[in-house]
Amino acid sequence: MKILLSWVNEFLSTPLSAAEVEESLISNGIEVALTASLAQGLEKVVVAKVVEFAKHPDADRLRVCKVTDGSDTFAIVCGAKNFEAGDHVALAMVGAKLPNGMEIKKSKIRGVQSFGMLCSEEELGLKDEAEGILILSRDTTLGQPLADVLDRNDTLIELELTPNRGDCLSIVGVAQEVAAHRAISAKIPSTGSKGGVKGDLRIQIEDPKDCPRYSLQLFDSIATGPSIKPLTRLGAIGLRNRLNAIDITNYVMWERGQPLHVFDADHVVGSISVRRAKAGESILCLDDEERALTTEDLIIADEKGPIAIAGVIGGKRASVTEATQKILLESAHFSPTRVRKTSKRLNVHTDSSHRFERFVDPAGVWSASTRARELLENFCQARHLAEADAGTTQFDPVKIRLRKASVLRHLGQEVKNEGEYLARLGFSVERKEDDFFVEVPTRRPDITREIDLIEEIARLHGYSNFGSKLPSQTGIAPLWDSHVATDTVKSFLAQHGCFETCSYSFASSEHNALFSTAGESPVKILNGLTQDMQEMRVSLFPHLIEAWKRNQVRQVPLFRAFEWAKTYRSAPESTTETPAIETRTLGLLFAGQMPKAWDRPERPIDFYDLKGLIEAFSEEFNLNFSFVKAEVPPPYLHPGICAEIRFRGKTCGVIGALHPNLATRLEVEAPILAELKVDPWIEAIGNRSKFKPFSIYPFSEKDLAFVVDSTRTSFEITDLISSLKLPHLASVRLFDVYTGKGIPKGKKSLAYTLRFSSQEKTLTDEEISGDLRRVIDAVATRLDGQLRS
Amino acid sequence: MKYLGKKSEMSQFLKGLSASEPSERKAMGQAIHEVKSFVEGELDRVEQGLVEKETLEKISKESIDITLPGRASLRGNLHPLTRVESKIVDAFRSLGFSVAEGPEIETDHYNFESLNFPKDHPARDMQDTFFLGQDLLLRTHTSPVQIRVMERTPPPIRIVVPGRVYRCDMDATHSPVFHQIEGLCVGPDIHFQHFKGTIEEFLRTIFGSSTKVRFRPSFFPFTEPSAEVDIMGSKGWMEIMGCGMVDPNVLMSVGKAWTDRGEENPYDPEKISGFAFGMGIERIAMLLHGIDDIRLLYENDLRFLSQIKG
Repeated sequence: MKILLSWVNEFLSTPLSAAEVEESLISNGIEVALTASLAQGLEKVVVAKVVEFAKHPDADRLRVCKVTDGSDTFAIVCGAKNFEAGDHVALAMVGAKLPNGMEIKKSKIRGVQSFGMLCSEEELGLKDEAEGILILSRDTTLGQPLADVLDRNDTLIELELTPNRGDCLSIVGVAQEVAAHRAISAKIPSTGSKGGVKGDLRIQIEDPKDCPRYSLQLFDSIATGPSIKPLTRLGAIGLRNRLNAIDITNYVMWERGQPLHVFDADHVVGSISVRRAKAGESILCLDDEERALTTEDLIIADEKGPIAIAGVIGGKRASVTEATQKILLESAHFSPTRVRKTSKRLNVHTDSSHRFERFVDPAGVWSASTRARELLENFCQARHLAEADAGTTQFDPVKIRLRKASVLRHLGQEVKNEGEYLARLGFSVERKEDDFFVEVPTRRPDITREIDLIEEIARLHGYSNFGSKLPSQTGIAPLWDSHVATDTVKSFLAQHGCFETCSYSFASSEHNALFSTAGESPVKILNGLTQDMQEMRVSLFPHLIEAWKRNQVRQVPLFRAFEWAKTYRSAPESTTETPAIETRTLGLLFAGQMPKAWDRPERPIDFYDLKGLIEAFSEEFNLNFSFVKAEVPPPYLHPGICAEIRFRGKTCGVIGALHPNLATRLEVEAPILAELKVDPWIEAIGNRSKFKPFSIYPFSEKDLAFVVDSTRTSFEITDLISSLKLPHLASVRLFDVYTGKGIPKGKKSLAYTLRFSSQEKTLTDEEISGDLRRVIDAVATRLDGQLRS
Repeated sequence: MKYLGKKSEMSQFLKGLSASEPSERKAMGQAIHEVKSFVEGELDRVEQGLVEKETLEKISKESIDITLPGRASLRGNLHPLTRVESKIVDAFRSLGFSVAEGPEIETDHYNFESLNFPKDHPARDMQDTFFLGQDLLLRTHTSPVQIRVMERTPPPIRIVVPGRVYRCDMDATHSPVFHQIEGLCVGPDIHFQHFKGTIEEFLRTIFGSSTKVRFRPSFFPFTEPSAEVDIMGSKGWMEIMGCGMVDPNVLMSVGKAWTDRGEENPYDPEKISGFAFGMGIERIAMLLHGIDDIRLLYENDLRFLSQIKG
């Protein structure tokens, strides 16, 4: 909300500076977004008179003017034509820096010297757009600063109010806060007055729950002409200047926080009722939109139908225009929930609905109306004809018992002047021993409990005036948990050449469809901001690929990345415990070229680079992952370059190359990808290893090469060897894969180093040769593999 | 060998000495020894020289250009958000807080209702929400985890909750996805001073021991009194986190879950109190590393990812 310093000062016994007001508001918990002098940019702008002007010798559209500020005359080249000799105008002198940022310098325009500029309202920051320059009244004094003439010697303060402080959506509310902080008195207008019965205004409140109070005043002889001077404040705070009567309602709303509405009484038919809309009813609103209403909407209606949506927006039919003679002034209380529901459903947010949603003091309904009457009578020559104040007019304050012990318990220290702080806020306080009995005025609906009072006390005492200490230690946080495990894994990957990426949890439906497995249903977002936010992602791949693509465009030759995040699927049955299935997932992407160096050529990064990393990872954390050729490869991976990753016999992930068709479709050089579900193995990370004694005797190693069908996998051989359960076989390691000279077509040679060792002795060749024989025989008989000599 | 070995002429000669006159024997023996050790010494020297020459040749042959670049081991990096999150979590661990987590897809009940955001209340406008269904949404803050933990665990509790949160908002300072760390400390004697003390201690751990900290009153539906915390930066006060004392309504909502299960409610607001806080990890990362656009954190540009250390 924007406020003006002068306006706040009107309600304070001692005027304060902008800095003082700002300090008080911040200390009291009201954020100040901006403090700006309204005269800023007008420092070197003065009233001047156009003495004479002539057409520019070289430009038809320009005039060369002679203007005077009363002591000096200046030659000014001007493009506007809406002035005559003798007009008073706003002259920006050389050196001025206007509110729109324009700096005025001595310049030559088409060969003619110009010593300043005649300004438009737009250039002076008074309006968003303007045609021609600003013409001032001829009563103005030449040379007088424009800021004085326009009454701009004021400070604009913009507040960011929290939704609990509806009472501060008014100058009076802000003044009360400032006064309470500074312990000065505020001239707060009294509330609680009631309207009388005068004339024949009939009001029927059909929904007293949503509208406990509704009042009207009728005036005639309204001068509805253009806005008048005291209301220029509205321009400064960004409220459009319209017709006098409307401006007055806005002025009072800003000052008191009570939204008011005016109807053209000549267009209101019969008596007024406040009721729910009927199904099928609609209303043409002030903004020329026709809006369909429901029985959930509260409306103001006359005998012909709706004339306003209560607290939200007025209707066109009975709206005030320049032709209006008689007005009906509405001041009422509408329930926050009702106004909010309608305002949300219709997506109409107004200054009025904003206030009603945040609660407007029902006790202030009539005093605000009276304030508007005063302004209407003073500035619009209005004649008061009738009034009515229907519904409840008595609103009882909330009574709360505050225990001194509670203050101590919550705030940790005694606060001596609790009672005084509350009194400063306008609460009535009665002390009985260690208890305070507090009555809270109706304008503060946020205060209903003891804790609310304690917050008020803390606020006014000043948070900085409380001590600080650490709570006594209740224990040491566990040294190891899944968060530490996560960090450990991430660090391992980063230390092994991977960059951690971070991307949005969203995906387009298209990407989700490409990267999901059959039977999974994605979680849909109802109000995503873009196409890429239609669903929650089912896989980390699309974003990893996107990152690779983006970096590839930026000439990154090698990209090794991982992301650790959740993927999401709909739960078959959503419960409060598990609203959806969220799977912690580790995604990896390797792509591009291993760079060439002085000792080795460039080579494309491939499956085995990523597999090697995952193997190292598996070894580091004792996970014993196995890689098994995928029987049904996921559709997004290359069917020939793809494996399942298993942990304790269960599949927990996949690794493979992006399917070539998909690479084409996504316009990217195919990367190697891997994705692992984290939950199956994260708990195993950090498992304490137990020492296993190692042999003190030397081991012996034998190399064996087998020629097998090229379709055979290395795993078939190693698996077969380990199935023999040779007691002394310590490890089998593949060290060569060979095809070519000496190997028949359709075959390949796989060479392994077998290491034998014993805990008891040094093994002799004879002891090993039996085992070797068994290996050779088994490979020959079961896999048709011949020992290569 | 021929001249100095055991069967050499010199040895023969030495053996011959025994036959000579005893008076001459000593002097002759001495002379012979002198000759022998001289010759042996000379030979050693020659041999040494040969070895040395060989070594020098070997060394010279093996010498390399040490200015060639070393064989690179591939370098990677942790994401700045991970780095900052770890720092924050570690700081709180040392204050006795342990880590808790919770779902990102939440119900209205946990995200709003039980945190004292009534239905149809403008407080809900403070957090633009992504909706997934009638009652389902993407959590707008990590605070629902407070409720989930308190519903299951009796006090005292000290937790921090890092995680992703979602708001329907996107520009240079707002990301629709961002990370928060929530903290909760609940027990029988927790008060406002503890909350100030803990947060000051934390901020000084992260931003330096001389960091100036300011608490301003504010409003969050689930805390009372509530505060915004600012730290003094080069351009004045900067908002860094929101916090406050746990609102009794929150404790009551949690207590209801206990009584609904037929268990004794350990969260009587007359006896139990606590404080909670929440901060955006992005914001702290941006401050610590001088990052001016939040989108950089989600673009995954290698030039960015490889740059942020420490």
